[in-house]
Amino acid sequence: MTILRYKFLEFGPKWQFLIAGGSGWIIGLVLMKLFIGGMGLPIKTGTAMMLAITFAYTYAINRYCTWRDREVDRACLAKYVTTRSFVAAGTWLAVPWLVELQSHVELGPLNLVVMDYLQANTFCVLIGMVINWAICDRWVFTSGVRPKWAHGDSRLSIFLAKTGRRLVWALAAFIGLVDSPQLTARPAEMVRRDNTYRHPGGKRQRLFARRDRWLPAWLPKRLKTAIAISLLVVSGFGLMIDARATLITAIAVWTLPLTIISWRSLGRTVYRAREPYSADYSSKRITEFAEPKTRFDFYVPARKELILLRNLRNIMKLAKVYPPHLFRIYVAVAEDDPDTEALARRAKDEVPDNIEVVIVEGSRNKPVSLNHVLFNADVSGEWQITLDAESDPSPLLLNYLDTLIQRKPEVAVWQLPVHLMNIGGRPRLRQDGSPYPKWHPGSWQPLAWWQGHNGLEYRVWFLSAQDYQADRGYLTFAGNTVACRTDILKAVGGWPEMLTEDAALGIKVSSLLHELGLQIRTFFLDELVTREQTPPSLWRWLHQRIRWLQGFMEVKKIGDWRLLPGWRQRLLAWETLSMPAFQAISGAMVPLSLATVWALKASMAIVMWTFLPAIVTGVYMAVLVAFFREFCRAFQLRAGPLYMARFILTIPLYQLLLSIAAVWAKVRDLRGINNWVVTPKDDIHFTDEIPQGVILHEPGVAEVA
Amino acid sequence: MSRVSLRWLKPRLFWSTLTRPLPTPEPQSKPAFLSAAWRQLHLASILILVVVATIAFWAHWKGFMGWPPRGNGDEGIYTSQAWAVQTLHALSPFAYFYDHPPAGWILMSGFTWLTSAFERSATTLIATREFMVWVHLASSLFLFGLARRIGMKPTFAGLAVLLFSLSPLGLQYQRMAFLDNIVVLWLVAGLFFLSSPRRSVASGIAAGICFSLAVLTKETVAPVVLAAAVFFWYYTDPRNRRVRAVCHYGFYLIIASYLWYALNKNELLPGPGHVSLWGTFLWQIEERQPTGSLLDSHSQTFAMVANWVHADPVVLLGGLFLLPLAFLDRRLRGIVVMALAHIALTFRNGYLPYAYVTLIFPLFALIIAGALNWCWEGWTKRYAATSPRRLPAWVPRAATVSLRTGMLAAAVAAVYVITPIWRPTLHQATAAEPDLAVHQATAYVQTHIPKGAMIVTDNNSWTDIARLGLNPAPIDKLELDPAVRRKLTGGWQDIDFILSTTLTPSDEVTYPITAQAVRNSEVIRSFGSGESTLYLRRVVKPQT
Repeated sequence: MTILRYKFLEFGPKWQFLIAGGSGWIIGLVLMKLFIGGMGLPIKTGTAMMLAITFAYTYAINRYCTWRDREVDRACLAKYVTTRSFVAAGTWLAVPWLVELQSHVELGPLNLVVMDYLQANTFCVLIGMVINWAICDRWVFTSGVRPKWAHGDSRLSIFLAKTGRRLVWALAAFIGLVDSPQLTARPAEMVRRDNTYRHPGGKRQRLFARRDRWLPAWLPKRLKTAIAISLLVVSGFGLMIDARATLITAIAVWTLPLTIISWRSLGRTVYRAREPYSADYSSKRITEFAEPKTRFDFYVPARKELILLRNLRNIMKLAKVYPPHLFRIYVAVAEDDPDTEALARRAKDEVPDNIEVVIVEGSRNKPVSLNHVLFNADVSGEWQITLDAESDPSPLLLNYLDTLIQRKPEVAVWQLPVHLMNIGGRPRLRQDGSPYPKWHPGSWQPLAWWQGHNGLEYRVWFLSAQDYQADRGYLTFAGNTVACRTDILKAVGGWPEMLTEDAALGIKVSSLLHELGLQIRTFFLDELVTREQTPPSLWRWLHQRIRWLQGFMEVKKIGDWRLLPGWRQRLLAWETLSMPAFQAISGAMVPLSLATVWALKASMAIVMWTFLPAIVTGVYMAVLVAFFREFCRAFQLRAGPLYMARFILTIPLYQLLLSIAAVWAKVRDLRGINNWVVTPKDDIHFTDEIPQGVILHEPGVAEVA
Repeated sequence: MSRVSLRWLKPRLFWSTLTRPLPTPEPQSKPAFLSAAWRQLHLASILILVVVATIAFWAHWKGFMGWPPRGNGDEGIYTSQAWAVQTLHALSPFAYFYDHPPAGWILMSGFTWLTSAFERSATTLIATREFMVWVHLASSLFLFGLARRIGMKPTFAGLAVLLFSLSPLGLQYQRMAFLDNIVVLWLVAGLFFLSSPRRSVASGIAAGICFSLAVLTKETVAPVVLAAAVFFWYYTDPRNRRVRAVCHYGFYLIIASYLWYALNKNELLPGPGHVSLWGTFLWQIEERQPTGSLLDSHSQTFAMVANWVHADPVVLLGGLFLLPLAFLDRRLRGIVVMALAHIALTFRNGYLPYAYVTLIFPLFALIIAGALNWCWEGWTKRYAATSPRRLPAWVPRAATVSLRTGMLAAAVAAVYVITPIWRPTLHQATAAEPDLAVHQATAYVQTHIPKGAMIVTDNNSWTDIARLGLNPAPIDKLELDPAVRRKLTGGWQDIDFILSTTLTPSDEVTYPITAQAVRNSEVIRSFGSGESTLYLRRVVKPQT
């Protein structure tokens, strides 16, 4: 036996694979003949038994002969078993189907397709062998970094492998899962396991070298657009010919992605409460703070903020509990904004050492202002915190941050929560400070129904979704109350100039931190929350949301998320950044599809199929209500039975608004595709209206009731 | 002599333990799956599970083709519906009138399609009974896991599975192709997930799906599923209880898909010309002939229950007597409440289904084994925290040792007592020859009966005759389904052949057409032997 094995091993890997696979094939044929022909078992049972035996046989041969020089650990075993099981299951389903094909398909002169079970098995085995080779060689039996092309492989085998790989990787690149340099890389180049493309002798900045085209060169430009347009054309024709069938088909096809999207949303929403230890966030309250050591810099970009003075004074209240010499506020003001500059200078007069006013020339968007502060102003703090001008930080913010930084030096980014405090309920006090009577109808705000949903969105985002992302090694920053190490920020090159610079920065920083072995963490406590208000009106909210969704689309397009390590992180980042697209097409689809399917009297299979996302969406709505009630309880916001009824009834309406915003953002994205450098058309983020509840005492200085 | 503290008798402690959930186990670093440390930790469990599962499977598999004899026509109804799902792609070969939600026989048909059971088995009933054996194996595995998660030692968990599988009465009902066995599977699986030591939302979701499928298999289990809320309460942690409860009960929406189905066929509410879900529901509650309440010793219910207790006093009476003891243990209280809910429904003056006792077996098996485990754990462990320090140390130890010795002696005695009670039925069950009467009848009908003949069959043989393409009519559908009765334009004289047993109901009052046809028929062949002999009769038509 050893002599045979030695002889076997003399062949190269592909011949060994062929011998192993070929012998498995012959053994499989013999077994099938025995089981099906000899013992008279049905085709399905015989195929299943044959597959089980040949599975074990080919694994043994491959493991102990062909790939004996590679490491096999439990992960490899799991990968092998999973992929081979899929191929085996495919064969088990395909063989009876191919055999039955002769009775269902009339091919005329092409009736060569008529197969008996042995031929069907051969056909499947051939396909399966190609798949198995590719998977085993490239994915299962790998150990660490190894050269892609083994020395001594013939050019033919390299070509075949490359073609096969190209097909698979083109599909993956089309979805956006993988980086495409491997398709165009020459064999001599080393490509790193995490798919970052490294120039020879490259410095750290080269890691973020963006490419103009991420898809391989031989795919047509705008492939996705072409496919989308052709789908539209086909459905247009279908609607003209048979509207009912087209609609039902569209709904049936869309149900599976809709279910997956609802299921994923549900999982991300309940992520905080997944197990008792994670739901118990208030037990992580710190009672004994460390000796303050860290120097913090607040970056406060302000534009036409009438309440800037009040907010700067609020931030300075932190000086009561944290040494004032250890933090500084850098207010970035545009040069054509004298009112805000005057307010900033007034604040600086009160506390000259703690506030620096930075005038930003030129274009006036937020990332430019922040980068100006980072690189041009004389920042000295080790950590920087971005804070919006209209938000209200918690008094214990710096103490907590400092203690966390000292306790966990391996964390380079801390994301702390932000909540919206107005939920559109009945205000407790009138404008002049007296309380409303309970029965008073004027105290209701019928047009503020969306504010509760907005507040809940923030709550769920910071409680669960950010935690979900951070646990998996990537984070789209929230742009407010994010503490990042200044040297990391400088190494990354500051904020990218985009609509949502925070999300883009987050993705960039995530990949860098993985290189450096540092972590991103979130920390949630109700008393640490930075308080904000919703936009003053629904119209403003809509434009804000359109801007954010368009920003996500841009972040996805520039492709920095492809540089994240690990296919799981890339897939999850892709999913997070595709949320606009998902929202555009899922929103209020569930009741719509149910109503359509019922009205058009579809077949019962489709009727039951479309009910599946309804179940998941129903649970999702119930979970949202549970989270909202907890939110109200935590912040003592009144939400009585009538408010909850309105809330529950308007959940689909809010989803519909999100869909509208997503579609609008996509349209803007497509139209604005000419100008790469984006200047936001409506700076809705910087409000020039006085927010609700603000009383002006003197021109330019506002206080909140 | 030191004073004994009676602190443990204070009612305050008892009332607070009544509703206090079980403590969440600490998240410990578990050894990797199948590693040496893992094997050492779980060796006893694995060995006992393998042994017990093998015994259970063997007891159910051997002779399943022949025992219990074909007596109840419901098996044939479910078999025909599973066959209809697989071949006709319909919920029933006749009009589906919402007697039970279809998840049970859809699962059956999934099995028969995957394993080509109808093609390789001698009769269709044997195919579905084979499915019951596999369902029972799965239920046993889940039951073992559930027992371990409840806190029983591996031995007692194995005892629970043995009580569940080897009970003669249980064996009888679990081998028959009833929906109750599938309900048991989903119920035990749901409880297994609910008792997860991680108390996670994911386990709550899985349990919600299992319970919904249980209700969608047989809606009569809904009160027991509602009683499982007590079990849920004890196995939650207050920190994530609200979200876990919302997710768990939220997935009961799956039950709404049944209503959605009925709504889309316009069969939700009663109306002219169609069956309705609501109508059938009312019929089942009100109009069916009640068998009486269990509390009435002259009722049919009482007689049925007495028969069951006589057939297997060990599990039924043992479980009943150990109920109060199990109630004292918080881990088992949920199971006790579910069993009580199931029993209490028989107090109502209603209709007792034939296989009602099936659901009791897993619950009573857990109760018996759990109560015995509770006794075995003894005094030291339970009262270690509150034990009065003034008692000398040897007292609780001596009590535990003597208790355990007594239990071991009682176990040996129990084996001597139980074996003669159980052995006859087990022997009969495992030694039974395959019941091929229907197979022989089908072959005869195929060769000797002309194609256009009108043949009326009982439920258990309907599917086999229908597979031949002969378009038979089952006896009860003949009388009750107008679409079937319309085939007989001339009354009983249109019937040519009748295939039934003596156990098939064909009394004058409910089945007048069939009864008259039977009176005017002669037996031409009989297949099989004993009570379930199939008689093929030819109807002798009067000369016109």
